[in-house]
Amino acid sequence: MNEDYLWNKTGADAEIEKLENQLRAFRYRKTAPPALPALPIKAPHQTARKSNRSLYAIAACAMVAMILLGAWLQFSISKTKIQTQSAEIVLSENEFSNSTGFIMPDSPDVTIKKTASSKQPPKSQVLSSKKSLAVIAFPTKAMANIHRADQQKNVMLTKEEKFAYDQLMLALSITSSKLKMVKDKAAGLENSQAFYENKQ
Amino acid sequence: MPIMSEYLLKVLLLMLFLASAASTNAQDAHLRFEKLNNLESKALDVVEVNIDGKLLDLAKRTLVKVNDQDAQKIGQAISGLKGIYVRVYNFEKDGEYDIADIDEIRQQLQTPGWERLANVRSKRNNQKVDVFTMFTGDTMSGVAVVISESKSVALVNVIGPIDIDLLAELSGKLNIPKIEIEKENKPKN
Repeated sequence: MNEDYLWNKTGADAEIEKLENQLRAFRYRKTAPPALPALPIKAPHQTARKSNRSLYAIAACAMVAMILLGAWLQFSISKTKIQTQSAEIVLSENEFSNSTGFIMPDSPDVTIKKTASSKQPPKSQVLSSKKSLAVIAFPTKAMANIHRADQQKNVMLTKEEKFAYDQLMLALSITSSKLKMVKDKAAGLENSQAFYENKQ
Repeated sequence: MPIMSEYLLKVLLLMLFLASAASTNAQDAHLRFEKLNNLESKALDVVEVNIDGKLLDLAKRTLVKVNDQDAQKIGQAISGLKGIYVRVYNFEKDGEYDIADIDEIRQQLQTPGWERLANVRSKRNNQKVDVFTMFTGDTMSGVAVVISESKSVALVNVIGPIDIDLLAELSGKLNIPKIEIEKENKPKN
């Protein structure tokens, strides 16, 4: 092998020239570089990252909503507990007074309807939770049901309110009974008059 | 502008006059029961109810708070009410009270404004029943019921408009006790 032909292409070497001729098809040709694309093409992995980001945002929002819902449920349950406990106190006071004949000192509030049962506090808690969930699921229907249930709730009256209410009811009762008596009397007289007229 | 303000002033004065006239009429419907105070010591049972002013307002607010259908009806029936005064005296024997005291109340109802609605006189039990009403325009401004029998006296004075029919309908409902103070003895056939 002629080293000068191999490195400097001086002289001649038949073997190398044969190889050159065989590899001529792959010879380097100087041409213009390929044109660059007009718009940048979006890489597929970038889209995936974006969709992942929105999923994370939704998950975060859901988590915040769950925390808020949990806090609200906790608050409403504790509120129901307080109401049940106060009803229990009033009931036990009444039971105590009934059994012993001893009149308890004046309390600020007087119940006129006995609704909340002191023996079943968990039921009211469950009801409260159910209420909250129902409001979320079916707002209009649930609100109507709750409104109806609230109407049958305890009505706590103060001592003064109860006194005013009782006085009014007594006055109205006597008034209505007297007026009814007069009305019945007048109707009786008319009937007897009609009876005598028919007889004649 | 001066003419306009003068006109407005006249209208205001007229309204003030009408309002004061209405309030005067409403005040006139109030009967004086002072003469009956001496009956308390003689009577077997006494019922005395005076409900007006702040107490009546509180009772009206309580009716709203109770949030019951019947309570709402009563609230409607008494929405314009200004006061109710009731006196009931039951005696053990006949003639334990002076009928002149009751006739004095009846005299108060002879003043202008009162109109007799019912007048029942019965020799049985010496029963005398009078119902009077007072109207301001088309609005009822007072009702008075005076019932005297040989063993009992009952007086009711209502100030302000009241739906009597609705009240009669609600009798016995909503903790309104059906108080039968006097039960008439039905004649046997």
